[in-house]
Amino acid sequence: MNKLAKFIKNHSTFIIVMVAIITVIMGYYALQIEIEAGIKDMLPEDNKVVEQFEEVQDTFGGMDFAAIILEDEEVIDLPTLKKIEKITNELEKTEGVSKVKSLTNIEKIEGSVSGIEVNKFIKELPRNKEESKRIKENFLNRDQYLGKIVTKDFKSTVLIAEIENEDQPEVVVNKIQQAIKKYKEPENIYITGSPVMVADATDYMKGDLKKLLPFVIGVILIILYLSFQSIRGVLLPISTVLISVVWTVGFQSLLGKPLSLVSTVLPVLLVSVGSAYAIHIVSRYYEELKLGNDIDKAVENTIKEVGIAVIMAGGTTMVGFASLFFSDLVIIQDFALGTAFGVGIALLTSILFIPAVLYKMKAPSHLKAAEERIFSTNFFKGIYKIVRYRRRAIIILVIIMIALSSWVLPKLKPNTNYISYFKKDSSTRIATEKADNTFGGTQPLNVVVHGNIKNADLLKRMRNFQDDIKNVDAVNNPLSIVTLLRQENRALTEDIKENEVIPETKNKIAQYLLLLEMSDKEMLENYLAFDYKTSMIQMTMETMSSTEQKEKVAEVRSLINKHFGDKYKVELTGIPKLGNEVTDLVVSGQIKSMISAIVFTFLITSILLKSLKRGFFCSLPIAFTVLINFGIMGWLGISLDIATVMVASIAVGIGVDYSIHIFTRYLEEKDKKDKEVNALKEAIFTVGRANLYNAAAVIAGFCIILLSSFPPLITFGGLTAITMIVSFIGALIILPSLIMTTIKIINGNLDDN
Amino acid sequence: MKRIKIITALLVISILLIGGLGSSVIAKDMTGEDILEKVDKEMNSETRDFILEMTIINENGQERDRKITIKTKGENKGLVKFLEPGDVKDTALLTVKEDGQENMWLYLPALGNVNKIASHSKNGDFMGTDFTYNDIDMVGASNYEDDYDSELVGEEEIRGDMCYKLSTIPIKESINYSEMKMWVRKDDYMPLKLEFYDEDSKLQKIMKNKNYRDIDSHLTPEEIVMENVQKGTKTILELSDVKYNIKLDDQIFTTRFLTRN
Repeated sequence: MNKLAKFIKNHSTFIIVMVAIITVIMGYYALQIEIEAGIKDMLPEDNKVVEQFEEVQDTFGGMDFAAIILEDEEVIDLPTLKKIEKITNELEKTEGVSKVKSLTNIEKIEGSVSGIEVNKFIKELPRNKEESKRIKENFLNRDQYLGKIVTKDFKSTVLIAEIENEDQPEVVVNKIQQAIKKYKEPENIYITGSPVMVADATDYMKGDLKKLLPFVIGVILIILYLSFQSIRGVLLPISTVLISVVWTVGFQSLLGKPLSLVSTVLPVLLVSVGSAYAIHIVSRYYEELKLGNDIDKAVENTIKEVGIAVIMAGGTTMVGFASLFFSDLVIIQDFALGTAFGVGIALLTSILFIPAVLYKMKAPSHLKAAEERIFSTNFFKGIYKIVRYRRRAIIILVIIMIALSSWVLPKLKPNTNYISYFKKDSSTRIATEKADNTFGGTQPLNVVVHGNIKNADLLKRMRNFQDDIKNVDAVNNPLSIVTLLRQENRALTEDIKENEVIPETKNKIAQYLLLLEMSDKEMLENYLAFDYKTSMIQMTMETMSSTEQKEKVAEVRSLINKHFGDKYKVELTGIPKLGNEVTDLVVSGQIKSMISAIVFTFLITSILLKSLKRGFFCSLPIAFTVLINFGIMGWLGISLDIATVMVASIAVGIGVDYSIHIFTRYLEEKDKKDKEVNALKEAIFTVGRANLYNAAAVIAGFCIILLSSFPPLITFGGLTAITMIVSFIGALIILPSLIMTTIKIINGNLDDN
Repeated sequence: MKRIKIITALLVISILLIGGLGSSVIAKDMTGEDILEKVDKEMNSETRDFILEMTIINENGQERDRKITIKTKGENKGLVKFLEPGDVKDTALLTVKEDGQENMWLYLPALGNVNKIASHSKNGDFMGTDFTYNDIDMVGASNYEDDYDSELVGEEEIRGDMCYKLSTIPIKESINYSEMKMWVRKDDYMPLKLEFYDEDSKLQKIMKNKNYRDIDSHLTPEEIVMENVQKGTKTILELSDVKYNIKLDDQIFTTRFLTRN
């Protein structure tokens, strides 16, 4: 540390200039950071479910679509249909939209004894009530589009805009949203669908970044001012965290890693967590000045005395964040990398950049920063009294809380459904609920059947499967080549419902397919691959919790087994399958990263304190904190999702710092003082104060995440703030109580005189 | 059914494929319009009968093969019949134009009956190939001057032959191209290459006519390749058993004849 102090003194200008240059470069890259909110982006690229999804998307397309719902007293009338026609035309011209399906362009295969044609379902827009009535009767006579494009009461209709196979369908969605804006009123227009959710999420993320970052900076500025009451005490720590934010975002951008749903909170987190190291440095600097040292000596002592402690605290925090790298979800891995890097930078700038600047500055005009505050002194007196006289009650309370938390552990459920990322009153959620209730959902769930489609046996199985699917709740609208062939048969024979049957010979199937191919190749390609050996049954699924969704998907899978058995290879894919995968990975990642965080913390503290027993003591309060976190989740019915899954590891990484500070100070004082009780008292009064400021900044930071637009992030902010309070209490009350009890057992008394 | 325009298209394709033997003297100051007119004129025959093998290749290199026979008489009658693959053998399409009205019938052997079918868009794909009905119309149609503005933009060599290079801009809004470039062989006015540009003026498709042979005094390409460079798909048409001006009975072009085989 002596060498470090000398190095900083001799190279202070170099350090300041280098930091400035790198910040400018990283700032340039940071501004180019991209935002990604898709479900696929959460999963590893080589994930089997993702690969399967992309393969099917490449062959058939149609997985990404926006559903635009239009509500009116009556949709089958001239003004509304005219409007729908206009919207359809405009969307068809929109770049990135491959196809639009709406009331004004849907078709029916029509036939009579003398002819067959594919016509628009609504050949001419109705001019009067009589014509409207006739159109409605047509819809009621053929159930092909009822409940899919228009509701039975004709008060609601949907336009489906298919989006071309693109990496970022949300860009196209933005264009669609822009286009339909002017058509609102008097009808109600809602828009949803998977890419729409992603687009909305991306917008919310941008909003969050703009809103939360300035907010957290403001709060930290206030806390810094209250702590130090000086300009440098405010500006130096804030500059280190801002540097760390810029470098981290720039670093991620350089690695080509976009900001995700969870890393939206990364800047906020870095500002609140990263400020701790600077606070310790600046605070010690003022203390040293108050002792009468000159600037050079004060800075040198600061580096020597708190350098190690700050590195230790930062190290454990980095480990906590880095342990999230064990998650199988890419977005959490990226988050782990970003936060660990960011904390490292905050740490580095705190011990290099701040001293370098302090060497260059004149002595401050006042030293209020190092003066005692009556409030905090009383606060710690209270804490000490609790530890001294109420420790038994505390230990009992802890045991009760452990029991209560353990009780609900099995009740913890994962929920990663995309819709849960939106607030209940958000337009996204309202539109999605409408789509679920009136049109059978918008999440594509697809069955891919491998086998020669000219085989009548296969067609029959597909038909039976589709008939059975209609009985599965929340899975709707099965559509495949079977549907088209049945309609074609009706058109080519007598136009009655009974003729909606599948062709029964190979030649007949082949000829029907040829005719379909010649009339509408693109329509055919949605359901049948080029080689006739792969076909797709499209379905839609309503939104629901991850657990329910898993059950539904399993139900569909069992129907697949029932109808296709081992005879044909059949795959099931779609957004719900991706969702299930995210859920599974959330749970497996949770266990891995939490255990590794606790183990690493135990190892680090054991190594630093040179004793397994001490390491164990230090880790106890944090293990308790983690358990309480899950207990709160269990009792409040909070599910494990992409954000809450991170709380435990983060709590370990940051929360253990408080215990480390108390315990190390206690050990240090134990050597100086004759009585162990007095050593503990001293530790609470001295380190406790630094801990309090530190915790205040961190808790304030996490509380700001409560203002986020994403429910999972709000929960994440709240939970992490609570775990910070718990680990703070754990370090200041529970750990000392345990130590006190041990002292009592060993010494037989707690004499502190 | 929608976009079934097959017979018309096939009538046209036969015109496109089979030109008359060129013998004109090349005037020095020919305009684009003159050359197109010439191309038009060189392609004429009362009846045609030939076999067409179609290889449709998708973006993954997978192939779909079909073999059909085409018979046409005048500009108003056409019959297409499938030979291969076996499961669609004898599927037939008949088009007869009467008083400007186009009638189309489809015979599906598995169903055993004839259905009248309706037609729609000309920008649709021709029988699942990379040709649209318009592509086929483009070269063969006789109403060039109404549909297109042509300009001679230079001379270039294509596969060793000197060609006129034409830039052709469609006038009709219904045609989905912004421009077509055409290379017409100077010797005999046979189109060797065409480039189709989409509405954003980006190259979309390239068509090449290869190996013109003299059959019954009609220059006929053995192979036509259409490549969609945007989609990465390709269609190869191979022509064989070509006969011109043979006797084709009107009986062949009736619905009764459709069901007879």
